[in-house]
Amino acid sequence: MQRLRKLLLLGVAWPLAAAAQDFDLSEAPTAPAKAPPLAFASSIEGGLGYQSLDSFYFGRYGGLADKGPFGFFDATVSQRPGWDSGKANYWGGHASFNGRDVRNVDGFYGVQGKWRVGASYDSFTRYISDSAKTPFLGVSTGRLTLPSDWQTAVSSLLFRSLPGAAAPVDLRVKWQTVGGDYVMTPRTGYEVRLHFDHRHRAGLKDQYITFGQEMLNPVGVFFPQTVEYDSNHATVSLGFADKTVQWRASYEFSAFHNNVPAMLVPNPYNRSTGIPWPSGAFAGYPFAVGQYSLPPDNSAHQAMLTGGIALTPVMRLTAKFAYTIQRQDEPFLPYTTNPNLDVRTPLPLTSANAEIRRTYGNLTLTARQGKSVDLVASYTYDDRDNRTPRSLYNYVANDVQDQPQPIVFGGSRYIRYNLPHSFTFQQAKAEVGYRLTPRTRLSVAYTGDFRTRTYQEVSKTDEQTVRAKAQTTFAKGSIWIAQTFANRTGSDYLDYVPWNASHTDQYLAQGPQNQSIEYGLLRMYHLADRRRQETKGGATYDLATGLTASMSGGFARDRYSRSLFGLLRSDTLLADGDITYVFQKSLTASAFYSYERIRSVQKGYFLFNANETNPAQAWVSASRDTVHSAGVRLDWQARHNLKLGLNTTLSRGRTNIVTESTAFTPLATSTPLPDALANTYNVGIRGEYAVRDNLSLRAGYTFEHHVTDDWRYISSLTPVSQILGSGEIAPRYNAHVVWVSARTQF
Amino acid sequence: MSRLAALALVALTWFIVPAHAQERALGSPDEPKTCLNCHDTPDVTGVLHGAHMVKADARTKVSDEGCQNCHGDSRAHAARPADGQARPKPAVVFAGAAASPVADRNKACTGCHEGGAVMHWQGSQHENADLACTSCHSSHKTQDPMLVKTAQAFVCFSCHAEQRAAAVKPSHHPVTEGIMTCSDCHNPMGSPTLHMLKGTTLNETCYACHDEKRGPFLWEHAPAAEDCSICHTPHGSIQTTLLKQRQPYLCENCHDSSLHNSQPFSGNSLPGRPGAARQMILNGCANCHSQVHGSNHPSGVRLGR
Repeated sequence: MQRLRKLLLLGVAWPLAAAAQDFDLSEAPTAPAKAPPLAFASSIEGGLGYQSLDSFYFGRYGGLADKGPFGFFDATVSQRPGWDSGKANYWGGHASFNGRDVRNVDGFYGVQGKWRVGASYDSFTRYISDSAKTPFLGVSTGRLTLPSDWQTAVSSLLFRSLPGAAAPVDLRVKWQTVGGDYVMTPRTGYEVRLHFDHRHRAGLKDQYITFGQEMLNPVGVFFPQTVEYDSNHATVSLGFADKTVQWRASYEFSAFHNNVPAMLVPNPYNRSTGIPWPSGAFAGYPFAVGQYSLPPDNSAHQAMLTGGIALTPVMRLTAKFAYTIQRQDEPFLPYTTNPNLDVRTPLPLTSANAEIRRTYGNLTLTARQGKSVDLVASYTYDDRDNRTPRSLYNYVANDVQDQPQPIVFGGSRYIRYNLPHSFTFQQAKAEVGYRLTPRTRLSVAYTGDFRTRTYQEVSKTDEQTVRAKAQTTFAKGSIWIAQTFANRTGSDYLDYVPWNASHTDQYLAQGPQNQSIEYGLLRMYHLADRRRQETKGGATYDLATGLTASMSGGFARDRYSRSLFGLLRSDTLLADGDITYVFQKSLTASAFYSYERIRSVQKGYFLFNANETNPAQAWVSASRDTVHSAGVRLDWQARHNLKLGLNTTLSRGRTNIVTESTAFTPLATSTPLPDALANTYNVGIRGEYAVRDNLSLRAGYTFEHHVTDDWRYISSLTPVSQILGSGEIAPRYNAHVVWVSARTQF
Repeated sequence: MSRLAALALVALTWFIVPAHAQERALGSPDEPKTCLNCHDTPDVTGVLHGAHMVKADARTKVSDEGCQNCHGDSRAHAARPADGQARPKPAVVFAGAAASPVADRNKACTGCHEGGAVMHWQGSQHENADLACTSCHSSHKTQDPMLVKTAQAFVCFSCHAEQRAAAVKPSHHPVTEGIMTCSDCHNPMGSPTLHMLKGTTLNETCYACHDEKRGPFLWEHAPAAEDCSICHTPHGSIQTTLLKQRQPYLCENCHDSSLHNSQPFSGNSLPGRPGAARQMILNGCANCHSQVHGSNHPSGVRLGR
């Protein structure tokens, strides 16, 4: 018995001793000696500021566009019971008001693992231009008028009184979105999601309507377009996930509604000049009004099923299928609203009855062989089947021409079929990766893109892409480099396809078959044969403790090897450098510089006469955009209760275009174009003084200098032939913003 | 019989007692408190205010495994190290020079996050680039910057320098302004669509906000219907409306028909010069062909109304 006791004692003691030897848990008490400090999850901040100038450009993306004082507010609340309280309910919200236009409120409540409900509201204003002018009255409605004393003219060059007659108009669009979602977990692994949002856009944007004609060409007339858009979007989905299988089935609905389907704009010209027709037609001021169609109501329905399955522990198959129906059935506007024009052919339909059926599918297989080899193979099918009915439209050009009335209907080039474009895209992709070491991976990928199109110059294009990449990480950094080659070829370039498809047999029977809307030797660049080469790389290295440098860059070149006219070649050079220094958590400094150069060379043919083979009528133009971007950021914990910061960014953009021509292109002499510049420099300083652990005072100052020097604005209020423009001027400003705030956390 | 019982007891004790002793602190509902005894700074304790440490949600496995649910077996780490020896690391280390292999780190996340937006992670560009989930996400912070509208872009910019530079160009999407996020268009956790876009196609992604351009229109501009990126660059441009090239030159890459859109434009085409051309100012070719995304007007074949 004693022996048994000894044995028992040994049996108990040995493992205990072993445990004690392996893991001395004396440092692992079951209860903490002290309570962990609380991490703040909520905060409220309110403040006041002042901005020094009115500038839409300065505040163009929801910022501060108006001079004067402003208030701002930001609050985040996140509440959960203690992690070990046995409760899983949580709630929170965020509200912000930034200056005058940016507002955001959202809130949520839920029981984690069971359900969650949330709602949100977002608002911001997209500022477009504060220097546009228009002579039109009735801005913000669907019907514009001209002042009763409008001094009409036959030519844009004769609108001498325009600067005086035109009134400033602010172009901006306010975006407001309200939405909500609900997520529920009915059973383990399952998830139901409901989402809805409604977006309203309202304001004015720049728009142009064409009238005609002047010097054998239509004229463009600027008008402020009323924006009154509503969008609704809803999604419902059911998903499932466990260790082996995951899937989600969803239905998505999107509808766009335009509250102003068209705008009526009076023709500011008093008659058409320089054309022999239409005899007797009178389409100018004060009787003629042009009607401009605004984006039509449309909807999209999409059913989607996506999922993944682990076939084996090292092999996974994922799939995504979607079927989408896009519809647009807005009632047609009339050919023209001008009662003086001869319109005898009725519309073929009351609406376009447009419909797209889109079928999308993707299968992806990923696999690993040991720890060294990985494989990804995928196939994608995307078909856009445009089922919009084709009909004949006897259009009224520029609201000044009578409808052509040929002896045989259709026997005119102005009677046209619509071309509902369909596309099919297929992609086969495979990538093999091999790890030389656990942290060094080499990979080779092949991608085959195969597209077919209807009613276009090239019915089929194939592009083969091969990409090789090497990447490695090591104790102090990482390096990667990638090289890509791609070759796109297409079926024969048949420039007459759109022409033949859009005209009637009656018209083509007269002889103008196989013509082209474009110059016959032109190759549209998205259809043209192309060779692409791209080299990219990057490296990150820890130079010293807390000091990290990284650089990346690349060069990509496209050659449209078989294009004689159109885009011939383009390339992009990119170089970035970064450096970050962290000193004992009290100072963080970072800086970056980026250089980008985008070049392209194109060739055109001046078709001012019937000669289409004269080399002297060809011209070449080279564009070069260069952009320098740089930034510096400093964050310094100067004292235990004082943080200081500095942030500065610089962006310098330059567009240089050189067009070379010959004596046969009289519109282009040797006069060079000045470079177009857009330079922005921004610097901001900020400080935060902690009065208490949870209360701080903050202040900041921002200065921004911007200069746009661009010929697209030059003399635009000066009358230019064939356009009645907006008179916008190039933005140029110095802006100062100063602000103070108080922030509390809890 | 009693001898047999005693032997059984020994055997039972052999296997059970050590395990029990080792797990008396770790792997118990109190275990996070054990860890927090040392790891007590706010950048760690923030996890207590988030979704990952909710004892009442069985999915978080806090009750069963505590911090080890993500950090793996940490018993040796929690134990007193032998004299003169460094304290062993937990089985999964997420940061620093001793960080575990990316695959091991990610396994800790994908062990739970395997459906929804993460479904296409395996084989994605980010996975193949050896990114860890924690390269972007900070689960210990009270607010993960990736999930904060005004902060997310700067996380992405730490690698995507090209996009960071694009964001300060004159024309850009309002990402740095906090109006929209990178993840409004992209799913960084993987998507079968090009560039990890959220929509099934590039255009569908754009239509999520720009649905007025969706049509389908009576008169389509085929490239616009096929691929917005034929003319636009999404992240930033020094040309207006995110165009890849300035008008009229961009348009002349594809359009060279008689008269006005086949001529060469140079300095002689600016206002006040003999060859002044309206295509050179303001909206370029869109001064007339303003319905470049498509027109639904029966007389809109030239995309002008």
